[in-house]
Amino acid sequence: MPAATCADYVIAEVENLYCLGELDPNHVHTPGIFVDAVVRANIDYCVMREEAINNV
Amino acid sequence: MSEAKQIIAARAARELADGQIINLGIGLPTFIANYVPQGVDVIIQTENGAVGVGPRPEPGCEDRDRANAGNSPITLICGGSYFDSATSFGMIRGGHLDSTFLGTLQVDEEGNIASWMIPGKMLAGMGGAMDLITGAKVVHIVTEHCAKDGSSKLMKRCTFPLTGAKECDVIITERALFRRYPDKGFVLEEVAQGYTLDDIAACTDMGYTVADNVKMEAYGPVG
Repeated sequence: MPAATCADYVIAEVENLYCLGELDPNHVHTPGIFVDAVVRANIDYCVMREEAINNV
Repeated sequence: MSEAKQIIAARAARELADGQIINLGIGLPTFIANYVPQGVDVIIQTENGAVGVGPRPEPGCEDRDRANAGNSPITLICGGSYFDSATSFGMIRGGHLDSTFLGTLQVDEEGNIASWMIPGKMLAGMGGAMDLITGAKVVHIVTEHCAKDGSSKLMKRCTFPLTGAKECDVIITERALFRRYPDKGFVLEEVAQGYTLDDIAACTDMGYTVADNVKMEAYGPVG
């Protein structure tokens, strides 16, 4: 959030995209006015985390 | 709301551009939301902590937990959100607002704004005005041209304590519209219906120049 408020151009990498209005207004951490672009995350983070644990 | 205030609100709404993020001060500026031109979509912020303020709720549907900075009940448009004051003022001071519309007690030819107190009288205080005036990219002052005693609110020099120095960019009254340029100061660009250049000169204390292409009868009563 602090980085998003300071940067000239903000790209949010998100795991889940929701339709307008689906997020509870009280649960928003970073209001949309700070965000310039959205990129869908393709990487399966759960798999990465598992691999990381297995490699320890 | 008086006819003068309607004229001001309707003209002020024509300053809006599609996609802008704006903040409306309490009182008269709130009514600008009623006159937003068709095809123009603006996001309204309120400094107590919400972005995406929608129309005033129908009587009986007000939610006492959802209010604007002036304590009037609000609704939220789809995609709006609530946040704390720190985030809200970070947004304002960080320059994320395209423009703000505020009322005032006095404004002067240097663009100084005095809106928060009359010495010796109790007023609510300046609220977010100080931050909005310095933070917003464009500061519009929307006010009646003269005070109740008939004196010009557009002064040579403010006599009340300032809310912000040299920050006012546009003044919109029921009689005229002035825009401030760095090299020329305030320029009279529009005169409302029913007023002449002499009328404006007679009721305006601040110094200004008249634009070469000044628009006469540029705006007036609504509807």
